[in-house]
Amino acid sequence: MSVQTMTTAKSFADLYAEEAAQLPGAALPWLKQQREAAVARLLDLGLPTARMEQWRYTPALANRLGSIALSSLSSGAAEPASLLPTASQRIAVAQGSVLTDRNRLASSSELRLRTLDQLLEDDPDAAARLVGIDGASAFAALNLALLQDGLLIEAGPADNQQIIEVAYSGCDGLANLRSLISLEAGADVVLLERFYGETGLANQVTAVDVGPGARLTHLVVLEEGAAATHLGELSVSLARDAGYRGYLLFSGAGLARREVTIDLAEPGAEAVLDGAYLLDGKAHGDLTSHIRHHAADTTSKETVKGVLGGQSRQVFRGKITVEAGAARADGRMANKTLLLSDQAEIDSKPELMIYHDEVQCAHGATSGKLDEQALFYLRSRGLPQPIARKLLMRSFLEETLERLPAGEAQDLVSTTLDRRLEEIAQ
Amino acid sequence: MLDIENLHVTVDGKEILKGLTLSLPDGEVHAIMGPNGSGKSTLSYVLAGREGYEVTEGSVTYRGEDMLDKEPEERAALGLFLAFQYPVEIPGVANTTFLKEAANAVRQARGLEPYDALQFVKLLRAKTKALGMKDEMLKRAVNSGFSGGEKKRNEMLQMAVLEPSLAILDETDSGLDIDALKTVAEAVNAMRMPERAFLVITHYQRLLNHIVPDRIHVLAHGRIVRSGGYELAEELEAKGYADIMGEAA
Repeated sequence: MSVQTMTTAKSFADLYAEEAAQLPGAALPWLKQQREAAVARLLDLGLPTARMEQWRYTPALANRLGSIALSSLSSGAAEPASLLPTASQRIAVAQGSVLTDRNRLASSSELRLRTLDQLLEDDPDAAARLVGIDGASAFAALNLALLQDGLLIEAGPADNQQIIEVAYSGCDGLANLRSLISLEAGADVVLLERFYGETGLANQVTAVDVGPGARLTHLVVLEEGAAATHLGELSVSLARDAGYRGYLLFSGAGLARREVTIDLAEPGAEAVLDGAYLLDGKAHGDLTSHIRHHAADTTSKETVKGVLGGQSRQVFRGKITVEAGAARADGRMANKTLLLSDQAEIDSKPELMIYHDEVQCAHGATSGKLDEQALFYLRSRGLPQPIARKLLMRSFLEETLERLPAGEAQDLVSTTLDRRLEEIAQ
Repeated sequence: MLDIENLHVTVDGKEILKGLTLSLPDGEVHAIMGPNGSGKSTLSYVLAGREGYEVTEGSVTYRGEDMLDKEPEERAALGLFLAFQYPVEIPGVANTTFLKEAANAVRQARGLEPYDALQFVKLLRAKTKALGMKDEMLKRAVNSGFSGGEKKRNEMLQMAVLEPSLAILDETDSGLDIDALKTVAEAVNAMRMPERAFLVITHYQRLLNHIVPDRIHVLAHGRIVRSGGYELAEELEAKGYADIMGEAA
């Protein structure tokens, strides 16, 4: 019988014991106490297994992790190229740490960015808010226990839309980073987060707080390599008449899982969570979302589409809950998938939980192959098969782009889709 | 231009075309008329190269070349065009984009320079106007939400842009009102020339009042049972298919 080393919660607890003294804020008792509580929670919860409903379709994660080490800046980092030409703020993150010079971070009432080390030095209350982002899962606990860096993004009302681009250029080992994005009443922000490392385990925790009437357009593009693992937890809270427009693109990582919770906390709040999976090889993409309507006149729309080739696997779990009192809530969810190969797999589980009458909710899931009739139509017009196939896939995905604001953000997602389809359509 | 010789075609194990023979010379317009289920659409799909249609016997020669082993896009590049009976909706792809991609794919395959953007817009405007189509239809997604008439006009627009040598119109007249029918006929008539041939497949004589064919063939039970001049259409209109087919049987 061979003995295989499995990564367990205990392995991470041991890693914490080794690294504790070098972690940011190691000398601060309150932070140390929180880190230790997180280790205890991690040990208590254990790493997720397929027996846990939320992880049912993304099992065997522990086998992927292999021998773990904390990512360190000493292993080098590349400054990534910018994708949004008009970004008012660009931030480079690598190996779990923010690389950008602290002096180059915006610091006005319209937009203010601070890193964990800055907060620990100058603003303990804000540091506590960032550290204290609620995360119940084992990986959120791991993120806190071994937290290497963080970002606090605060935006207020401004004449111009604030555009922020954060590029995560990867990690060799485990990288734990968390961000808190806080929009005051009237703020209007576009945030692009792009991940593209070749290896390692990126373990992200993000919280978004959108104040009354404020809007956030949030693009998350996962373009990591086949050897990389990406885990992310995102919680969004929306105040009165606040708007969140999210777009999530799974486009690489060997294993990527994003868990998104959106709370429509006050009347008039509106959430959009659209996205696409463009997977091939053995890539595995999991979006587990939960949208909760707590208040009256709240609206949510979720349209997620997949184009799956090779032996890739897409997991979509989407749940909408309408709480009692959320009168006239309107929640829509759709998941549609194109299977390009017989070995590709989709697990789709839409759920509705409704505790109030007079609401409108709908969900649907479909999967199928490229329409042969449409393919023949295009080819009969002279388009070579690969181009015709690509055009049909693009046509299929177009619906997911409709709710993105026209301009740079939409263009970026659009060109990323095109580029990726070139590879998948072969 | 086109020679079909003893063509036998099977779909899902059922023989639909049972020895069809037809010759279409350069510059001519031939009509194929026939009742429902006679194999009209099967013939158009086989000529355009759709999958799932198995040729068990016979040959199709286009400009002296065997056509049957070619992919649909190769046939298009060689100058074949099929106007679909039911044009397919492609949401999310702008009509202009599609037309340009198609025109340039075909031009490239024919060894011609691709159109540049400006050239193409000019060309498209002129053709659109000639077909009585609104410019707005160029911006919309291909056939998406188009009415029956708009779809058929769009087929004619594609034909005009792709400039085929052999155009097959599969029941392009079905579901058209008289104005749209005339537009379609005018589009075809405007493109008639000595180097180009048309195969007009139709159920009714109506379209043939506007596109006067050089020859008419009656297709029944998977083969051509009668061929003749324009008077054959009039005879069909007067007597119906049953008589003609009865005669042939």
